[in-house]
Amino acid sequence: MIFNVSGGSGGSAGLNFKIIGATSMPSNPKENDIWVNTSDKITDWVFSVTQPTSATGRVWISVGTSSIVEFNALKKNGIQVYPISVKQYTNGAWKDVTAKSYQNGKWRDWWDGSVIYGDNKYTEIVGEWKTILGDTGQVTWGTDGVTLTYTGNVGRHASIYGKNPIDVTSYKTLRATVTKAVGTTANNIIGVRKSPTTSTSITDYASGYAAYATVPASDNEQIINIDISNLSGDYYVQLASGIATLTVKRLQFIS
Amino acid sequence: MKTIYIDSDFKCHITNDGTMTAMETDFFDGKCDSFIEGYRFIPSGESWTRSDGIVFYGEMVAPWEPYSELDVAQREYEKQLLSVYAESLKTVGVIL
Repeated sequence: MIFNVSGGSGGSAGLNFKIIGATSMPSNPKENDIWVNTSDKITDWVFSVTQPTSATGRVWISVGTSSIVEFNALKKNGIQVYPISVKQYTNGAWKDVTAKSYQNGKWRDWWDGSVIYGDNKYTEIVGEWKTILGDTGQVTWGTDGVTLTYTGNVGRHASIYGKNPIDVTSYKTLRATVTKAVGTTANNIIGVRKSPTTSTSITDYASGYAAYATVPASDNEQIINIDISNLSGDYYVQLASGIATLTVKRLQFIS
Repeated sequence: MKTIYIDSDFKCHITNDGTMTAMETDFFDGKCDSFIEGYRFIPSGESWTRSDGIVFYGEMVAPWEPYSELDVAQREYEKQLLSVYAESLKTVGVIL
């Protein structure tokens, strides 16, 4: 459930959490305390999918349909909240701030929008990464991220997609940090789809994406941005490499 | 493969007003005009800067209109096509 709540700084009776603005980790935290790392006074806070009205000091907690720090907002009954990221309105602009939640006896970082980062596959977010292999395709995971390789018949490929879709409503960009791309540009594709494809034909691929980018061949690190600012709702992330090699070190949704 | 036309902002068009660049792509195969014209197509070697300053290098293809609206238009188009096909089949004695 997604809801829009606004309230003053700190906590309120009936709520199962408290929001604390500070530049150092709060001492003696309670379960579900949210620490917003800021030196600016928090005047109020809002949980919302979309950007709220600007007000100096306001903290906007964007929410989605999944979060690694989800919590029940109420002491009695339940409203499950899925926080994703935090911004605060100061000096006439919304600025990104970091937040942590105190859960099960420790402070936990909020999801930073990554679905791949080195050997972290973020399975708590995507479920698992499904693999589609044509002929001699290979997918390997390591500290450098994920490498897709395909050297077989023309027109086929290696591909992966996240089992769980991601609610992209709060995000504007899908950003890939690519450390290696070999082969024809059109054969290395990164993007999002309403439904994943299990086809092994690279030529079918591009037409099924809602938004995608291809990756030029290079041994140097490249930042590949895909504009998802006009997408809302659930989409699957899918990467493919055909007669090519593609190494993605990080794949991240950015607000 | 379809020929579309992109303007100086890389927005797609189905006709050329004389100032646009023609592009061949199979991305829009089977797609209605409304769907096509809601997209931006940045070719390889080109770049586009969004209003927030983020730079996108081609080839990058993404909607500039809300995808939910483009999807509605496409589904309506496909329904109309099916309706036309059904009528055509009726005239040759095939009932769906």
